[in-house]
Amino acid sequence: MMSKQLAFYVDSQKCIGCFSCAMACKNMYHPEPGVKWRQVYPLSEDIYPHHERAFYSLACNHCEHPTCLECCPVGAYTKREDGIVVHDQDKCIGCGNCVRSCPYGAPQYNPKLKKAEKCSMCWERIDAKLEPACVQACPVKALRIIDLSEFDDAEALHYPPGFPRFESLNPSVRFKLPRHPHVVRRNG
Amino acid sequence: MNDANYSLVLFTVLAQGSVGMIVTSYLCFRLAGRGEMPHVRREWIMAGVLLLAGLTASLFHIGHPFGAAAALTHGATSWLSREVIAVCLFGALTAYTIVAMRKSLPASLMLGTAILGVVSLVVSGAAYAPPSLPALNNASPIALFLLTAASIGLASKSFFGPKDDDGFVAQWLIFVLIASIAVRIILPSVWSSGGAVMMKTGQAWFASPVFWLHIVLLAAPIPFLLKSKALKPWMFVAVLAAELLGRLTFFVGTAATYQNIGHLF
Amino acid sequence: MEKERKLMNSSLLNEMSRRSFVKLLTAGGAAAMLHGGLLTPKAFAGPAKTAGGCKAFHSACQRNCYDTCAMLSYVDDGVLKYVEGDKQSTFTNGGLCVKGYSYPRRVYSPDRIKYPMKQIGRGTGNWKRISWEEAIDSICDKILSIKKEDGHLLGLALDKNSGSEGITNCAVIQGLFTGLGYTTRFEGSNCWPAGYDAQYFDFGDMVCNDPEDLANAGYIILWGVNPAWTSIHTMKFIYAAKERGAKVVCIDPVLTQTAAKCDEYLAPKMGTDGALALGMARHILDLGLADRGWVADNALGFPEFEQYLREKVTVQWAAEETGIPAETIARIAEEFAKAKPATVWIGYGLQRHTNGGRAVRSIDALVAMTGNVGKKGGGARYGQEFTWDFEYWPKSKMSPPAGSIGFVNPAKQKPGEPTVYSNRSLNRNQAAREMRKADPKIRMLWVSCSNPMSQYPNRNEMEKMYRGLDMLVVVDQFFTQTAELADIVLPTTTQFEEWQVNVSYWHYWLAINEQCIEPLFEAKPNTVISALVSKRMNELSPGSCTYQQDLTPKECMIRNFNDTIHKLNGISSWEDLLKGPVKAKRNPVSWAEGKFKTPSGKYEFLSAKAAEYGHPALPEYHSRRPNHDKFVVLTPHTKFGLHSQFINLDWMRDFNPEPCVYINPNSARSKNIVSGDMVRVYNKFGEVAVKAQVTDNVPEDTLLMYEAWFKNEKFNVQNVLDDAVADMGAYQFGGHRGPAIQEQFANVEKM
Repeated sequence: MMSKQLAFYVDSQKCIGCFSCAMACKNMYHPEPGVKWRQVYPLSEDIYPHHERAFYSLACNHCEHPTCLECCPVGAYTKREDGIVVHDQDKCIGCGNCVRSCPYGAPQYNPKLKKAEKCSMCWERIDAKLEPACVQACPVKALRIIDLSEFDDAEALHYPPGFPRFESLNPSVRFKLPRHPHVVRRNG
Repeated sequence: MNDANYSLVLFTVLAQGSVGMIVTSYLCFRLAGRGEMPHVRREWIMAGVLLLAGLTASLFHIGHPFGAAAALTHGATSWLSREVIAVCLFGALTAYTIVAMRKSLPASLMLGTAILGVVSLVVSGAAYAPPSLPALNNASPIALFLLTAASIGLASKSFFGPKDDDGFVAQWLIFVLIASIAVRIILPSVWSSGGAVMMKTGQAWFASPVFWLHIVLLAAPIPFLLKSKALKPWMFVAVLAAELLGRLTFFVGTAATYQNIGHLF
Repeated sequence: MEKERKLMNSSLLNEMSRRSFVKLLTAGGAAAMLHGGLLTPKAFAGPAKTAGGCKAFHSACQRNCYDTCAMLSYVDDGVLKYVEGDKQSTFTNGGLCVKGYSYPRRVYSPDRIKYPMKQIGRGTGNWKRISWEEAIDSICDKILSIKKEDGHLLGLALDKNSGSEGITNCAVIQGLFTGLGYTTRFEGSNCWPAGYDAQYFDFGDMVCNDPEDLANAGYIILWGVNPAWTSIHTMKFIYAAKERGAKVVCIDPVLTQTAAKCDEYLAPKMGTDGALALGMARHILDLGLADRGWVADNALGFPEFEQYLREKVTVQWAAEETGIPAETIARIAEEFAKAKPATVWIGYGLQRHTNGGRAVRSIDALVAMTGNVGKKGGGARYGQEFTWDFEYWPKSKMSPPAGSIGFVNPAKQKPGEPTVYSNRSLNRNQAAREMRKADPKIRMLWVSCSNPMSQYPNRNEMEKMYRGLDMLVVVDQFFTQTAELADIVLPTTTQFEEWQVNVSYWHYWLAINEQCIEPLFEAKPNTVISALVSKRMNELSPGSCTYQQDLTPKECMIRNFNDTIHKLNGISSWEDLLKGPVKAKRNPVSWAEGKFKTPSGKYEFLSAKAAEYGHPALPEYHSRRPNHDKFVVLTPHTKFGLHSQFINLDWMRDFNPEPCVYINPNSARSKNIVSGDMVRVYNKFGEVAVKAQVTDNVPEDTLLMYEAWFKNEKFNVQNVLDDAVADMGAYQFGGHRGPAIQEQFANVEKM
């Protein structure tokens, strides 16, 4: 039996790319301009045929075997029992190794504090039985928290096109792909 | 974080250069019977200075350098921690060996330091091969670092006697420079037929004037060495400059997977 | 110019970070516990509701937006820490939007105007900080001198627009002006007049079903509306309908985000929506699917409408006019007529055309003839204003000072009777033209909740007119492109720094906005600004202003509540709202009783009132105006801003770094343009330099730019837009027709 692993479920079919999730995170943690803990990535036209009309909203994937945790020379990262990967900014010396190493770009460098920082899955809110800021913000419930140890959706994808595959890290995130409409363009 | 790149370029090139100098010095001493005190001692002191300069430069990429000592504590999991440990041990042993060189050349210490130097190179290569950089997430950083060490080490011989009359060192330098150029052109060519991020890396390297300048600078000493087999000080400058520029391309021109999210991999 | 202004603002307080601000307010003490990122993950811990040791306040978003969210603001030690949506509103449901979540950065932005400023020389950038006394003195002196020289105040004009829709802001600014005398007012609306008139002609009022009722629809057409960007909270109800099996169709000349979420997307030619609706209506008639029972009981003029359709409209004609294949028009029409209930959400972009009002009438007709009016899950949804019946105190209870002279309306003035004076009302959709024609000339202009330089068309003309003013006063939070031309700039408060009350023109919720922080620096709410002007006017010239002199924002807000509002919302006093937002106790289905407010009391396919205003009585089709240049130019709204608000913030620039013009690949190819090229969009009015993005989201004949104000950038779509007006709007907007701002033309070339 798998141990508890909280994860993000990214429903790109429901997602309207409104960026409420990304800004709700900024609203909660006030990162420096330029630092984005959550980003909403548009899918290229190779993946979804209409320019900037489908997105993956991604922050930290709280991997099963996180690169950040492994590569940090001062042990500033820990993984909680519920699977959330937490960065302790007090321990951080700002070496930037995690920033360079994470293939998903989750840890980012805070130029003011001169330390790394990243999405914490709002663990304090989760402990207080609230939803993470981004999840609460989503107007259409496209972004949800799931527990992979109980999650059972045969249609959910782990590595959809446009999301890099790192099985050794095992990112805790699942996706639903967007459909596209029947398009009737005008003649002439 | 862009300034961090310059710090890392200086650190890696200078530290690797010092390893190269020490290994070259030991091999020349041991295999070719070259080198007497005080030439060798001076050589090792210069290597030590290079290493110190590199370590100082490395502090500038850390947000809180005064916390750097904590980086020694996670060798169990982190290649970066291992690199810090290895380089510090290498530095300590180098210093100790230099001190022990007062009366004679301590062959075993020199051997030990040289081996530790190579080990630290390999560990460093592993530390700069993260999963986020598909082009480098393999043994290529190790290969590049070894070549850097070898070329700087060999080229530095021009400052230290005895004279390389039979072209022993020159021969090895020609070989290493050619191998260096070959590897540095083969790698991005191979990347150019890889996945999207590898391809971006290959294209970025080949499109970079800095990259080509470094190839030219690596190549520059070769015709002169072939002709006269004499090591000249300018060759050391050219090789050092080449390595710094090449390392700059390595850090700045290498594409990361997170730059490609939303596109096909 | 930028440099000087920046210098002025920043030299007074280095980098206005929240930290510095708090130091200012709390004299150092508590500020010590705040550091760097105000709310680091660790600082958060605390009990659920008032997490982080913060106190929660009820706030309301004041913007001109369908969703006007009920908010919660969390304040600690006098500093706004973060905001969220209020879950008590089933419409807001706990979340805001990308703009709403940027409020903490907006409130504490280093670019906030901190003090009254005076510009030495129009547009020079040579700004000087002045005191409120000096600012008010200059303003009052100027008003009095205009009054003395001209004998009246028609040379004094007000442009109060929808930048803030807080109810007191809709009363205190105009109230001040009424208190001064008869003045010139920029009126009409840049937004929805054409469709508004159309709904009044057809129904006798503009009212829509509760948007939450969209979940009950069996078929939804989103026509010229892009809720995935401009009404994100409604999307969940559309999705709910989809989950229950409803089909959702999007009709829009551009493949919008909404289109990508629908089952089917139709891309008609710009300005042909009326033809599409009529073509569908004709087919429904042919199939015998019209709800003749409903029509017989509830409508006037259907036989005439039917005759018009049979004589003048065919599906084939509609196909040629719109470019949509005839089979598609026929199929969609049949689906719409057969699905019960079916509904159309009529967007505002659709009616900002020279034929826009008629297009809305055609769509109304489509909904009515299929028996979908007054039905749960049905309706021709446009908007509502029944939630807005506040007192608008003190404006509504005021008169100008005795003896004031004003505008005499020749149409209303009866010979031999005492002269009736009124304000001079100018159409804000043709502001530059009106200013040029104005006689007497406008000498002084007060701009509040408005940014005409970024929002009104004919930019070059607008600037000329503004430069010709004796005095321009701008009340704002940021140095907008309009503020840059001002003589005097007055800093005003965000909603967090004042009391307000808020409703929506879409959903049925009422929310109070408690003041939760002190005004920043010397910013003042409009209520207080108006009172200061009034007081000083009366000191300089007793009796010159009848506006209240002592009025706090909270008192003003309280006095706007009346029996109508209490009864509608089931509250006994405004204080009930302190527990949370409330929803109007009104049938969520509009027109359920079929008691239409038209002269006949019925739904009017044939409207005498429309004829009275110079339109055909029936919703007949009329082509849009012809192109005056190669491409159609669309300048709709971006999700990242509300007109010129929010886009200037650095948090927002992280997600929306620069403006673009979107060009179809075929057109781009013919102009040798690729994505990333700098291009100029140009026509006889002006030009815009902007980066190109090639995409087939836009049709070949169209250039699309999102209207926006990027701080420090000259980008302004208004440079190439003219002040053509829509067909309708004169009926309900005092003679002022709506804008045809989505019916514009230009060319493009690589720079």
